[in-house]
Amino acid sequence: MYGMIQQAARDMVLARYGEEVWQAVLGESGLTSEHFISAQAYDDTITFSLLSAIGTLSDMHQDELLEEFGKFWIEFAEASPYSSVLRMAGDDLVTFLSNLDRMHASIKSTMPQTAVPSFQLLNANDGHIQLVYRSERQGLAPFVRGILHALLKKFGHTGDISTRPTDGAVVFDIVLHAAEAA
Amino acid sequence: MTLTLDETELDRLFPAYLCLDLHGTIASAGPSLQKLNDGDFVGRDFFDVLQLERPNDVTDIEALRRTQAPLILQACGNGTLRLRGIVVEKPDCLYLLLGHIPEVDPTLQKTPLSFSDFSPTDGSLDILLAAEVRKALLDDAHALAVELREEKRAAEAANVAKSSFLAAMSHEIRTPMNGVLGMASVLSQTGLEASQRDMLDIITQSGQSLLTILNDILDLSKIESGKLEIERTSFCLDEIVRSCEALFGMKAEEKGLAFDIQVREGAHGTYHGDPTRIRQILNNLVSNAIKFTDKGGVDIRVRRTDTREPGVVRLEFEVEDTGIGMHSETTERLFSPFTQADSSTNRQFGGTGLGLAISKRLCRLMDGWIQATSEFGTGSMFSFFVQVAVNDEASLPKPEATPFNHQSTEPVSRGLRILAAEDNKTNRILLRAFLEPLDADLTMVKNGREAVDAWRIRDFDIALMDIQMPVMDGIAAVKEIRGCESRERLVRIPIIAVSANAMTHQVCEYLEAGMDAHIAKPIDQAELLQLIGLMTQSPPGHTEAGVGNARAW
Ligand code: HEM
Repeated sequence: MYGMIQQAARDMVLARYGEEVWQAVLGESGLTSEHFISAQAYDDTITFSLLSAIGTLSDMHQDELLEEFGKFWIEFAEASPYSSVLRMAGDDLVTFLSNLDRMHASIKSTMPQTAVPSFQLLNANDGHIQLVYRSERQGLAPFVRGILHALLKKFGHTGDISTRPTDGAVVFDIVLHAAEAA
Repeated sequence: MTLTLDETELDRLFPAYLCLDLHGTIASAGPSLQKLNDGDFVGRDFFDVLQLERPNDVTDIEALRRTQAPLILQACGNGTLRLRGIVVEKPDCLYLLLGHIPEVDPTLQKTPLSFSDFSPTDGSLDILLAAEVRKALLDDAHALAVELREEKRAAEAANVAKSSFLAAMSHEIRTPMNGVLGMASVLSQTGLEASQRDMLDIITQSGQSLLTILNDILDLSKIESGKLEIERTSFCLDEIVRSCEALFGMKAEEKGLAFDIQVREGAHGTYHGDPTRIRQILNNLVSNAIKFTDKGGVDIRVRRTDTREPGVVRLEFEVEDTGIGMHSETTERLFSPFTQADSSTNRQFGGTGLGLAISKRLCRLMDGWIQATSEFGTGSMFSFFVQVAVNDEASLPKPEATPFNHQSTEPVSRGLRILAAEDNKTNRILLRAFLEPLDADLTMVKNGREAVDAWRIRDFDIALMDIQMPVMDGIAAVKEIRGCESRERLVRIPIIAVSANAMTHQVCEYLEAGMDAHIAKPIDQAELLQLIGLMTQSPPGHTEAGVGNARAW
């Protein structure tokens, strides 16, 4: 995966646990360099060994960690040089989600080595949003869930998110709490 | 076939379209433009709000209607908004089907465009994101460079710290080593059996080579931590050459080697630079040449060439031998520290292998260079140059007034009252042993304070003053003594500074503080006795110019 993911993982560990734990994570994951270039593609095994080392050292289950990481992701992207991309994706939750797919597809033209996910907005009525997530990778639904939670917060909503797997995809049902639904 | 688009389709395909009536008034605009200027495009004259970049000869609605060329528009007053498209003519209006031209410049950050402002039919959004990604890449590269620079700085600082540590360590080891050698020297003057003398010789030789190694390490670490200073003093090139001949001529002869030194016409004479360091490099090369040559000989050539800078010349030295030579890979590694030609060389010939690394750094410090060419089995040639200033004859120092005669250790005066301040116990014992032949009345103190106190209550003929001491250092003590002497009109006591720091500027500092002479550690017994003899013979007031200067240089 592209280096920005590794950068975010490093920042999360540094922010939550400090330099010492980060050095331990590097040791545990067997990585020799802690310098990542955001727009460079790294082998997925690097990303996953990094995440699993963080899980081990923070004593978190992998899904739990991915969800936490998803929550951190938006915070990180907003402070990164990519914040303009986030801003252009939309000023409200529904517009933002409807642009996710276009955003990733467009980024793919710049970073052809990446395997970007696809997002399809099925419907968005009466505070009920359905988003279909498809990926070549396995097991990242908790990450998406974390990001969606962070997005609800970013756009001033509260709500419940549930998932159900369908054919080769995961459907996210987002039900906004009534107060904001209108 | 006719394709008809409804308004929603038009909005999606050309989010920045414009519809003009036949007078050139904007009748409607796409969602992206409406959002941009709060829709105030509508109802205004096209040429008032937009400027045509291409084609640039179109100035009225008629010409616009007829144009077939692609359009490039700029919104007036908003330099960053540019649009591209074509004109489609309808019976009662003109459609300008337009899309945004993404600005690949970071100023775009400021324009409030979002994804929906870009038509899904073209690649403009991709270009825009590509620009953003590229910008992020540059930011990353910049941050990385900063981080790496910081890491490099830290690594260099650690290296300097290591060198300083090494220097301190070597210095610490040198003091007791000097104790060992000094005692061995004192012991050698006592009645010894032949077998005991052989053992003592081994102690002395081993100690001497250990000291050489320590001095090499000390030199190298001083250079690496930037603490080695190059002196600027007058020197005579022929003097350096002569001492080289004196030092190595015999050795070469013992090995049956020819030994020849040639100084080219024009190179003779005096210069301004660091003779000690030049001698160190030359001696290192010559000593290696003799070490690695069994047949033939060693040739040394010296010449002088001009530089572009007036008053500055190059002194070039060549040391050529007919020795074992080296392979080219070896020649390349020669000047790096801690690599000897190969480890067997070390075992066979000894040495730290630091000599050439030190020589190279010394050359650099003197704006010079060193290099080697060699052929395995045939011989090697080392050459180096340093830059020195030409001396104008008038400013030459007087030739060394009082060369020390090392043969005569016979003390000039006996029964002297000597005050010696030295904090190190070994050095005190050594000093006492060295002064033994004088049969002196010796008062030993441990720091400057005690020295001043002792001087106040007793009369002394001479004082030996260590520089670095706890409580009060040698310089402060001398200043206090000199102050008292002049206030109370007392007889001036000759004081000799004893220190390991013998750089010119340090020696000057000692003399300025009121010392009369300087002797460097490790102390040479003969030199010490000679100096004491000289200082106690002549009136102390005169020693300042005579002996003091002689010893300082
Ligand atoms: C500035 C914002 C963003 C940028 C630049 C970005 C870019 C990317 C890129 C390049 C990848 C491909 C990973 C690879 O194969 O190397 C990726 C993966 C992914 N992105 Fe984003 N993204 C952003 C925001 C988001 C948001 C808001 C979501 C919300 C759900 C999201 C969800 C994901 C997921 C789940 C993946 C994981 C890969 C997979 O499932 O196969 N991203 N992103």
